[in-house]
Amino acid sequence: MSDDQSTLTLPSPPFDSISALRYSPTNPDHLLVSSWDTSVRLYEVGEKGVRESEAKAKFDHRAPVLACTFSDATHAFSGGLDTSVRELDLATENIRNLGAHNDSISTMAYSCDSNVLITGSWDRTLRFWDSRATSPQQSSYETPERVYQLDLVNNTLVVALASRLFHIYDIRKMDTPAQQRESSLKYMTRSLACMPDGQGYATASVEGRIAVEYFDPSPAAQEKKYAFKCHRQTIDDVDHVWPVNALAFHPTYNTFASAGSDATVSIWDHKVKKRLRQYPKFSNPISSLAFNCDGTKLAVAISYTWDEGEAGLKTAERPTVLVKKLGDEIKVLNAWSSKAGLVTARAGFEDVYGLDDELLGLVTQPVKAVLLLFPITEALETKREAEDARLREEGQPLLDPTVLWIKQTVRVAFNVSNLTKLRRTGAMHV
Amino acid sequence: MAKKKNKQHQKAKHFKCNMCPRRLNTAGGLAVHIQQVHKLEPENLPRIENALPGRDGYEVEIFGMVGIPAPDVADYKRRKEIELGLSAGSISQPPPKRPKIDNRPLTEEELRAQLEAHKALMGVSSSSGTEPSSQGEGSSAAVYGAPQAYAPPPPGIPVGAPAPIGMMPPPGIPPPGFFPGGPPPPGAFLPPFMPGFPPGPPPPGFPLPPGFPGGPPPGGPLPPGGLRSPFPPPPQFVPASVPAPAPGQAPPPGVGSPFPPPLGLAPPRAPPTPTSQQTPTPGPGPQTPELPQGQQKAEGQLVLPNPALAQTNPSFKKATVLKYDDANFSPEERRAIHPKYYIPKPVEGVAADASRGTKRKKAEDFL
Repeated sequence: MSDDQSTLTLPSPPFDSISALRYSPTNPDHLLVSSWDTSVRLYEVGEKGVRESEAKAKFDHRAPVLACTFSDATHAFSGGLDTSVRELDLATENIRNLGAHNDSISTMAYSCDSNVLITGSWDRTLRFWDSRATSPQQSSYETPERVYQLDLVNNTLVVALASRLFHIYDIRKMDTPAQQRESSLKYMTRSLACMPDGQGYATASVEGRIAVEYFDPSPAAQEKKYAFKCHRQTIDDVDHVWPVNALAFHPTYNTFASAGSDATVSIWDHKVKKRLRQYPKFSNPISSLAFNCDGTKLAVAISYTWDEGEAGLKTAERPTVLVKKLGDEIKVLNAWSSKAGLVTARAGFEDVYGLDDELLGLVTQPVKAVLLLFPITEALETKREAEDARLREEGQPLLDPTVLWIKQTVRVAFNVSNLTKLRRTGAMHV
Repeated sequence: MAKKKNKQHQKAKHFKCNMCPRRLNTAGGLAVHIQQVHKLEPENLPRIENALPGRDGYEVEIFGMVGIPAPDVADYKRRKEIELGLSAGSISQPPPKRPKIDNRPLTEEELRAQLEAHKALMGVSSSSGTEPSSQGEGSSAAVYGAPQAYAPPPPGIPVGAPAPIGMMPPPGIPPPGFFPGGPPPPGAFLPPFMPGFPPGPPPPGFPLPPGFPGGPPPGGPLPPGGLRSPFPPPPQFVPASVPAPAPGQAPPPGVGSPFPPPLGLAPPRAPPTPTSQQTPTPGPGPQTPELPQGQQKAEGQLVLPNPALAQTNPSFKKATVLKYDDANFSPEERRAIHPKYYIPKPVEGVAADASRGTKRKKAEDFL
């Protein structure tokens, strides 16, 4: 992978599995990496052939670190198995202890709007911290289960709990959750990410499946939610299903990336329900992902994720952090149709993967038009001529008057640009 | 290793003779060396190098971590608390005791043997139960409430001595005043105790060597948080009809462990079943105390906090290999109890101490 021009490998990576990657909210090249080797490291990501990447700072902890997050350009927070919440000064490398949970801290997020750090722990509490206050812990809220993941968009906090529970809070009114949901996925929740446009969130389970859900509780909005399979492979008629360890939304395009223990990363456009890109397989499972603040780069943490327990540790290689420069793969599929004048908020194109019920079920309703693309073969041609002759004799049978039938034949070899052209003409007719 | 490093540091930085390359182990050693080798009068001894102001004299005999006056230790801990923003007392109170336990559950035989040994030690007849773990609480304040300011200890009285004795008295040994020979001889080369580093009695859970007269003092160190007393509640456990086996007797073959395996990587969905019911105990047999949930947690077990919410994975229609199939505990939770990563959870109210990685500070920073 690293010989690829768009990918670079960070120097001196952690010695043990990477638990979280977080990019700076302001500097597109500052990346924070927390690890099971008890460290949190800050890297300045370089540019191939221009400047080297370098490790800027390292913070050692008493115990493995499971979560970290930036608050501003020069401060960050960390938490892990030793249950303490720490503030890290990235400039001076000072560590300040803010307080502690009663069990390991599994996840955290920082709200820049209200200047508050939110931590979640296996002790079944969410806690709010303000590092400037004399007693940093502001409040604590109980949850029915261990907190696995949390993510924040604007004032909406989504918390993924054990036992497939979800709580959605308004962080200004934390006393009761705004919504309590059970996961629409049937297996343990593994990852969670909120849409940057604040409409909803994506979540994934250990059973290679991603669900896209919306905050708006109205039936119309809830109808749009869906789930799909991914990060799996059929080998000799047996489905191999890997956990989806990480999800990350692109800050501007509203597309998202998913990564799994199957060592693949895919980019998805959840509006059109299409995979935009799957990167070539990496060497090892992927534990975490992060887009940088301007959306030009994607950081990928490659390390063992304990799916096979201790046995897997023996064969695990040293973790790697890769940073990929993103090309067009991240952009929304409908960009061209939007340029052609289509209001993509109201209509768009989707691919139909196949004609199985399940795959057809992925298509948004209602459908205004169907484009059928197929190569013309001799047999088809003969059949078409016979059909045309029959219609000439018997007349067109009665059709639904709203159906408009347009046929266009492109007599050139098939390639992607022609496909795009064809779609474009289709768009005109719609 | 840290101890060795500390001693090396002391030799190199503090107890180095500045008239010859000789390095000594302690301040006293240095003083004698300078007097005898370099023929300096005792009153002309140079101050100890690189020491904090006020601590550059030869009065306090420190070797490694042994011999630090108790008020200094207390003072240091108090400063650390303030510096780290921890609640008062979180470090300077007795730390949660964490003896090294060989992670093997005690068999009933061993439990009984220990109880008997303990009773014998206490001089209590085997029919009356005593609460073994209540000693040593009150007097600990003597150490931890030590004066704030640094005051050199009055010569001849080992400062650390009385309090640590009170802090962790082996039962059966009378309080310090009862020492037949009075307090330890003044001017002893090494003070007998270091607060916080007492020569610990064998932790509970150790099998007793045969014929061991005393047995481990049960009021001594408890496992983290004192969650698991090696003794079940006595009234339940006084087997009037059961002959007590000799201390250290090996458990009869086939006696299952009453506790689940210490590091439970076993499928957590199967609740740990106490196997003691099936053990061939004579007579009515004392019940093995059921483990409350917190105790298992303390030993590195995964326990569902809310069993009503326990999950089971639905089955697959097609042949499927699910790479991670625990429905109730995440890979991280399972990883966290692996010995390589396991960290005992702090007892409530006692925060974790300083990060071990903070950059080493200059000596002045500790003032």
